Amino acid sequence: MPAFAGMPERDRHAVIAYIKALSPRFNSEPVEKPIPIPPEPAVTMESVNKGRLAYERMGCTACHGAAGNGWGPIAPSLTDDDGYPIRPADLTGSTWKGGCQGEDIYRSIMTGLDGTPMPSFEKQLPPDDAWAMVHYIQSLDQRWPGLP
Amino acid sequence: MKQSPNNLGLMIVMLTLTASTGPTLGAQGSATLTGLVTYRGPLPLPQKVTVSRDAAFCGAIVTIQPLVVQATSQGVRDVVVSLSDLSGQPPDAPPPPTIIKNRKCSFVSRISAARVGALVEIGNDDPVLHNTHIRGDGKTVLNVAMVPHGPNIQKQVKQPGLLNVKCDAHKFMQGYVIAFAHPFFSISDESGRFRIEGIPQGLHRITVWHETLGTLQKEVNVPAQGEISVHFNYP
Repeated sequence: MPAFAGMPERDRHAVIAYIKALSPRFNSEPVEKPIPIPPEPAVTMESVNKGRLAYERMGCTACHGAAGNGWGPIAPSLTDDDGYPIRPADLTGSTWKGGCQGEDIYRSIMTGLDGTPMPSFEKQLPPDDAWAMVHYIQSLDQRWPGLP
Repeated sequence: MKQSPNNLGLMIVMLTLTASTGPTLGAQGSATLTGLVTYRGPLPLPQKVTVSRDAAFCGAIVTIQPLVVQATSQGVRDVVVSLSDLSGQPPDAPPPPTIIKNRKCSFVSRISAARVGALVEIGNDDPVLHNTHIRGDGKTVLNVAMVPHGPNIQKQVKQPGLLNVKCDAHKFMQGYVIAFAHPFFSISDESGRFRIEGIPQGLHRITVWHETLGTLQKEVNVPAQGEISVHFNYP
């Protein structure tokens, strides 16, 4: 899926309207309320360490691995909604499908990613722990610049 | 009429279409439908699955047998029985929730039925991480992490149809929820018996569904009041 940033805004909205006409779900199902994303706290060594504990406690290692490279013990068995094998995200340096900003990662953790095995943690993870987990996940990325 | 389990998707579509074009359910009736579902064929061998994660808790090998038949009555447990010729109206009061527990690395209950508008409440009694991944028509409806001792999760059933329940962390965990637009459904007990109350008078099509045995249907003329019995026999 390439970027279409060059497409005029009017055309983008027209494509969106066309895509929504392809599935009856856009008409038959109400739109869920967006989850609230509280302001990001400061990135500190304390938040990164707290995030590591949350990452382990929530069982993220099962899919993403202890090192975050996407090779957790159950990774080979995972499939998407169509039954095709799907690899968990490599948090150490791959492309971020849901966006690479802190709020994007926070949202992916809390909503999960429909169509994939990634579940929602919204009811299980307090917001401050979720932000700490974001900071830990960002620290796993080889491109992480380090603490500010 | 018998259909194989593989035709269930088509069957559910048929049920949905029937529900949308059939007579609309008004006030409930006074008749009661009781019955028995039996199976007289050979029992398939249970499936044995080697557990690759959390084997210390789940066990090294899990035995799966979706077809449970009582020796004395030959009754089949966990058959979903429903009227399939009625469309529904919104319930006057919230329907009772359907509870699904992650317990001993299985879904309890494995087979559930719910009315549209009801809540499905999911809990985890196990000391290991599960996720409860519910799909309808192959698309994710709900996928939630279920950490040990975490809070229960509730989700409202919005459409009739068959929902598949799985755990991605333990692939052998599987269950089903069937949602109906009306209240006329039941699940057979360990002796294969079922009971549906408050059925309106008239000719009704009764559908029974089992996870591996598939679907059977019969038409039954239900009186204004009293009890009427029906017997289904697989295969």
